[in-house]
Amino acid sequence: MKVLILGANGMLGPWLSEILKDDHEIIETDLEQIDTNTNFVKVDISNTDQVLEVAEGVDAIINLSVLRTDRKIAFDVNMKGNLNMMLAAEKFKISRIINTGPHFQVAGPTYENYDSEINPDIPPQPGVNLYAITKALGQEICRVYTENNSYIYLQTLLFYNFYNDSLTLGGERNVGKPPQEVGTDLTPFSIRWEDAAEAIKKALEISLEKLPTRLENYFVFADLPHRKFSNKKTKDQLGWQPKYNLKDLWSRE
Amino acid sequence: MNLLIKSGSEKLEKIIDNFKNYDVKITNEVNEKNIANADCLIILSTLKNCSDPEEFNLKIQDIYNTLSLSVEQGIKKVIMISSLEVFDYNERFTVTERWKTLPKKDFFNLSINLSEIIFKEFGRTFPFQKILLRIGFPIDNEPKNKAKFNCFTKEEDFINTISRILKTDFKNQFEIFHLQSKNENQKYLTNKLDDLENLSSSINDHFYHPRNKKL
Repeated sequence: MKVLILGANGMLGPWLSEILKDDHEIIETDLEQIDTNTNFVKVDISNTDQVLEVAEGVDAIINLSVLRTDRKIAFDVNMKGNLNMMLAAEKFKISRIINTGPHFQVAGPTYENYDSEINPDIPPQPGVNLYAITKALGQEICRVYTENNSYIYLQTLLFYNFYNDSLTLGGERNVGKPPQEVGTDLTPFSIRWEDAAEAIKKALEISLEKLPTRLENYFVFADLPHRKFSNKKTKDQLGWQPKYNLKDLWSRE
Repeated sequence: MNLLIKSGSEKLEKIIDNFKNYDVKITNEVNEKNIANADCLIILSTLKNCSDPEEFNLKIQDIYNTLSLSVEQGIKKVIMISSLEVFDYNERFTVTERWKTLPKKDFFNLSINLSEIIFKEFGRTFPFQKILLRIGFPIDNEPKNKAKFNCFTKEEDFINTISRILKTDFKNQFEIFHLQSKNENQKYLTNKLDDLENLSSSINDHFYHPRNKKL
């Protein structure tokens, strides 16, 4: 498949490119040039013309782009970026769209504070946190465009905390911080980078006819003991199984 | 009572500007100064100029910024005037406030839908009275083609509805109302709005019980 990755220069992009590069033709895009052996195109996802130009002829789009803090740029990237992606999907009849975001763009504070065994198909309640609501608005744009274009299949994979093999939390703000201590509490939505990338690969390679509907959301996190959220749908539908178990992070020993 | 109206529709602004017994101020920009004196803010989800991705983007940002500032300044009541156009259902259905919105994908409809979502999330998060009033367009006392415009709203119905909403204490509830003028081809049920005063008196159970009434 010819696959366009938007926001490939983030933390997850390199993990994903690594497992896709042998089986697919990848076009990586981001604001800044990255050191890669794959085809790279400099693209600002908030620029409609740039997104339309790079998307012509691809079979699938994977959107990893995200901006969390600056109010204007958060809307530009998280909301308008999704609009641009769907305009491209519509213009070039691109069937497979894989969007990503944080789990709380669906399960915001009103769920997380009260409920358990939360699944990804609940009505979104992102609250007003800038990151959450801009991603939720972007997702709503994807949803409406998918419902109005019968050839588009939208899979949305929702993540939150990522860990590496030394159990250090990912993200720029965590650089230099010590690894997570075993037996301490942490967000019940955590995963290893490798497993996150593998879930996206599964979403890319699943036959579209096997998807129950053209709009599917997935919670992607490791098998964890708390039963706060459920990743069962991701396993059942995508055939994904996390290789790395993070249960020890909640164990006393 | 001081009403602050965020501009966006000249026609609606003119109608509201003529309200008696209210001090009405229309502004292009809600700021700390003008929102501080307002008892109620009226904003529109429906703006005519929304024809390309960037206009769309800026409009949605503006809704978020306006509501952020309003709650920071302790606003007591916000009315979002929206449109029944977000329900792209078959004409035979009697759509009510309980139905899921079904917007088309054009920027105008999409922007209405997203504006409503932002309003709903602010309403879910902060304690103020929030009323989403979806009205049928056009605002016209006597449309020439009533069969085509089967969800028009007369000016007097609009004025009367805004007045009733302003007088009602919604006790920080989030309430949605549908408004269109009654006519033989009426498309939307307006039972809930008809029953507004009863809703106000029974609000303690936090649940609205619609009357069993047909068009």
